[in-house]
Amino acid sequence: MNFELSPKSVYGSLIQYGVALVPPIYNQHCINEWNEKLDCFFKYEVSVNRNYVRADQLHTLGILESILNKDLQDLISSLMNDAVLYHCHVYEIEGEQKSSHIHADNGLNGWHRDEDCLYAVEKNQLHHFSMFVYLSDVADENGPFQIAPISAFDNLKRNTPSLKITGQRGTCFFFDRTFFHRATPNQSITRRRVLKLSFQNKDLFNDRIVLPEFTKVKESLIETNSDISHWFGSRLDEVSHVA
Amino acid sequence: MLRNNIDNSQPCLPIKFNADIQVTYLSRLKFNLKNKVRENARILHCDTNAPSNVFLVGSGNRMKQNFIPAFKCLDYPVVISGIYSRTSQHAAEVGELWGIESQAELECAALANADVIVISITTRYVSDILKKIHRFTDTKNKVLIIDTPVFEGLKHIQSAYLLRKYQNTIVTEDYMNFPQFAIVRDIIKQGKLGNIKKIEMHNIGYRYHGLATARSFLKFSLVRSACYQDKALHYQVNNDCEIVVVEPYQKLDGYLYIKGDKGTLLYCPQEFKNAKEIILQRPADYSLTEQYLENSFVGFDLVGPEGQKLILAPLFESVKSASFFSKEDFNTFKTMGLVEVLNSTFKYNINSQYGFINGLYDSFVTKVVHSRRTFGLPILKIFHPIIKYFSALRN
Repeated sequence: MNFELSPKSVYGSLIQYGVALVPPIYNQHCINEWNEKLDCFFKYEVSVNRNYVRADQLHTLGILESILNKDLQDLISSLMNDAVLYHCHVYEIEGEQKSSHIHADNGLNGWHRDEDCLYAVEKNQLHHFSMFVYLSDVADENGPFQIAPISAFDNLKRNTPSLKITGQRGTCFFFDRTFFHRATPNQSITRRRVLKLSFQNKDLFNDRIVLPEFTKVKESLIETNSDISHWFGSRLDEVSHVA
Repeated sequence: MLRNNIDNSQPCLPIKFNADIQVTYLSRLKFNLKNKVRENARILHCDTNAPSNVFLVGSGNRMKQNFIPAFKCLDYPVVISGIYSRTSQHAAEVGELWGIESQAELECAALANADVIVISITTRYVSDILKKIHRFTDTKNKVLIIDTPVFEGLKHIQSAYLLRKYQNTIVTEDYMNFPQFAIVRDIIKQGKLGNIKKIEMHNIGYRYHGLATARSFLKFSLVRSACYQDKALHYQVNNDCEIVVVEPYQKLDGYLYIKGDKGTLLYCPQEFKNAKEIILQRPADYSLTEQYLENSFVGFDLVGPEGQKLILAPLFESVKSASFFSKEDFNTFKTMGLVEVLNSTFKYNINSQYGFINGLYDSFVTKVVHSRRTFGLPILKIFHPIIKYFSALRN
């Protein structure tokens, strides 16, 4: 089933279809620079099914501030004015795979909704979303992200259409994590590299924001870049009982 | 509810749907069924700038000593717009004391206009009250707050579908929200104990409250098997952890001992008569106890590898002074726990993960284990889907 739609805005597209494609936020030069640094990082890692470079490591590599640039800040604040991070990492998935790298054994060919955000869904409201930026070229065989316009309130029907997002490095899109999605198998011989940022409303339950990968960055950003330190939880009211 | 101040003008690129989803009919069916029985989304109640109208059903000690003081201590604006009780004289007395309009009939304008309905009555009447409210008014935009164990027994489980008719149903499992258990959860969350292998609650876990509290330390893992032996409820949970709840329950006159693969924790209330003995018998990496100054509670004392620290409970004094009827510390902890539960109407906290299905689950599991004292009961996990399916049946 092939058909094209032209949503009017990023927010509208996310609400209606669970996905929004946006013009590249980062230019090729910037992505090549990141990749050089990331190559050096991954060189010393033992390659496994999924390898991560977490927020604090991105910060150490000197990549994080250019990821969280002004364009991104404007875009995120246009979608959610109290956004806090839930994921912030670059990861690679291995090649020569026959099944999805995540939820492969769920009987749905890896299709799923992110269970950790299903406690807070509302019709026509955006509470949890992710941004993907491909850092390697992703064609059909490289494990493109796939999403269907099925919200947490919809049933899965026969012949439901879906969108498989392929594109060159730099391709950027947003998706609502409560919509039905999957990673297609990376059948190619190369590893697929993606930058992933997930945001959610400040008041939502967030057990990840207290992880060292976020707290270390928060401490550093509060002094140097207060514009984005709130994404790392600097304005959260919730104070841990044990300091 | 959370509302994003959004700028709807950021342009985006066209979307081209270019593939079909290929999953089998059975997988689709399973997925859709699972979707149907999912517990209510834990959405926030309302714009917190406008006060919420609260209607109370019940006027017993629990309502007087805990619910009303807890509402008075919330950070969010609420107006208690009415109170109803089967014995209207009780409702009138409570109403007069707190300045709440009492209602002779349940079916009244205050109930119809309420944003939040609180039910705290004898469990055998809960089912009837839920049916009456459902017949009288549309509940899909209202939040229901209801005491555990919700229903009297398994015979009322068929009424569970009524709990789904609300925008959100919150069960008031306040015990696990006691401040000392929040501190324990924080220590666990920081990975200081590693993977939890054993939780022992000696005389401080009443049946379903005890199980709920222990499960709250384990991210609400389900029970795999359970048995009742030597006056103790033994539960085996999913992640190879054992929970032991030793009876009889004596409020906080007992102790909690947690063993993880990296460390141990002992919570031993200072007022527990055998406290000194227990501290010697069960040495632990982390030791938590209440701290008193001139017989007044000042906070919790935590001793661990990092040193000793006093953890204050700033809400304690305001909650204690809001309560007319009982100034006992245990009652104050109960109200503090309830404040956290009520807060989950407006913001996400540990209670947000504990919906009515979990409440019913803990209640039924403990009930069944108690009624079959001499048998081990395998596969109690099955209770969870049973409750889920029952509650979705007439949706």
